[in-house]
Amino acid sequence: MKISIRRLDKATIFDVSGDIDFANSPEVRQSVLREIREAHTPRLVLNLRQVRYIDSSGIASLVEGLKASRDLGSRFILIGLSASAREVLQLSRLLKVFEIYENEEQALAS
Amino acid sequence: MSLNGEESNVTNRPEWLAQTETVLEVLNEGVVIAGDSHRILFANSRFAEMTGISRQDLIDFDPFRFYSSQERDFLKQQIDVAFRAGHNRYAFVLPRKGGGRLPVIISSRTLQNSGERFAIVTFTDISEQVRAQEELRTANAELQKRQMEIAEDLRLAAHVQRSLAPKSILWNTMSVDSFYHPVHSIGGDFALVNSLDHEHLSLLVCDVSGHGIGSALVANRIYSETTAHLRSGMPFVEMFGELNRFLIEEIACSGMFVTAAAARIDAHQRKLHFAGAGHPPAMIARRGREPLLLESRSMILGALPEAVDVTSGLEVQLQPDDRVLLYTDGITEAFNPRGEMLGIEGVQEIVRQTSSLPPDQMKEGILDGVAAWRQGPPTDDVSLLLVHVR
Repeated sequence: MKISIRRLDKATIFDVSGDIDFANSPEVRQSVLREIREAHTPRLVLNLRQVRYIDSSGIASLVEGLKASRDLGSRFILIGLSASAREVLQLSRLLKVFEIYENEEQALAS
Repeated sequence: MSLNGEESNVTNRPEWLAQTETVLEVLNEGVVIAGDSHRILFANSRFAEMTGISRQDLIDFDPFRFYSSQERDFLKQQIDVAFRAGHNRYAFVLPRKGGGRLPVIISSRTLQNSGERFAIVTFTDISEQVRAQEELRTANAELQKRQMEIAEDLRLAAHVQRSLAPKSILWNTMSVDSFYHPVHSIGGDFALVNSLDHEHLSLLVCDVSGHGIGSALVANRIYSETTAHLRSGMPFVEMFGELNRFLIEEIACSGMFVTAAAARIDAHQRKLHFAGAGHPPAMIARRGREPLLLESRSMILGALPEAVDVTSGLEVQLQPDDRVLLYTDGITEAFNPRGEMLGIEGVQEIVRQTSSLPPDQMKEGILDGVAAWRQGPPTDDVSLLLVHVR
C-alpha cells in the first residue's frame, strides 16, 4: 500500500494504491488524522481508484477520518471506489454517511 | 636488558628482539615472544597487565603452569598448529595471577632466525564482547521464557474463547450446525445460540474489527452483554442501540467496531425475525430457489452515534427444510489466485449448490466451497451458524 499526498489550495488529495487491510490500515489512519487534525486541511479527498480491497480494519480507518473531520468541521470525501470497496462500504451500511464522488473534479467542485 | 626499570634474567635473547621491543611495548594488545621450548623470552607490559604477573616473573615462565590438563592439551594442539602452519588464531582464556580467566583472541606467527624458531603471540582482550554475548544470551533466554509464557497464556485464552463457540444442537423442530475458526489463536468473531424457552431460539453472529488479543477481549465483553440482552428477549434494535452506546462510551477505543447479525426463530409459528448491523447478509436457502438475502439496515456499531436504524427488523415466514445461514466476513472476503473476492454473490451460489445436502454436509460443503475459491489459508476469522428447519 502506498499513499501519495497532493496539497492544493483548498484541499489535500491522498492517492492511495494497493489493499487497505489489517497490516497497513494504521498507516492510513495516522496519515488521514494528521492531515485533518494537524495540517487542518478544510477538505481531504481520498482517491481509492487504485485500491482493490478494503477490509474491516480499513473501513475503521475511514470512519476515524470521517469522525475527525466532523469534529473539526472539515470535509472528508471518497472518490474512485472500486466495486469491492463499494460492496464493503455497502455491507457496513456506511455508503450513506460518507461523501462519495466519482472523480477528483467532482470532489473539488462540490 | 632493562624494560620499564625491571631487569630481565633472560638468556639467549636474540638481537632482533632487542630492536623490536620498543615497538611491541606501545601496542594495545598483549604480546609474548616464545622460543622453541615454549618458554617466554619477552612479554610486553600490556600482557603483564592482562595476566597480573610481573614481567620479570613472566620471563622463562612456563605458560602451561596455570592451565588445567584439558586446557593444556588444547593449547599444545594450537601451538603445534602455529609451528606447522606458520600462524594460528583462536579464542581462548588467559589465566590471571589472582585467579580467574581473561577471555582473549590469541593470534600467533612463527619465524626462524639463526636456525632457531620463535613464536610472536598477540593477545586481544575480548572480555567486553564476551560479556555482551553473555548478556545477549541471558536476554534471549529471558525473551524465550517470556515468549513461552505468552504462548501459554494465548493457549489458555484460545481454550476459553473456544468454549464460547456454540456447539451444534438439535432444538425443537430445528437443528443448528456451527463452525468457528480464528485466524490467530484468538480472534474477534463469536456466535451465540440461545433458547429463550421451548418456542424461541436466538442466534447471533458477531465480528469485532481486527484480530488478536484486543479484539478477543472486546468480543468477550460483548458476548456477556449480548447474552444477557438475548436472554431477556430484548428487541434487536434496542440491543444494537445498547451495544453501540456501550462501544462508544465504555470501550471508547478508536478503530474498534463491531458488526452483528441476529435472528430469533419462533418454532411454533415458524417465523424468523432478523436484524443486522453492518454485517454481510444472512441467507435463507430454499431448495431449488435462489437464496434469499437478509440485509443489515443498521451501520457497523461503535463508529457513529446514529448507527442504528430503528426500523431495522425483518420478518420471514419459514418453511420446512429451509436453511438459515449466518456468517462473518471471513466467508465472503476470500480471494482466489486472480485476486477476485468471493463476495456475497459467490457465497450465494455456493449456498444454492449445497442447499439440498443434509445440514451437516451442507455446512462442510459451504466451507469446502469457500476453501476451494480461496488462495491459501484463511486470513480472517470465520464463524458460521446454519439452521435447518425440519
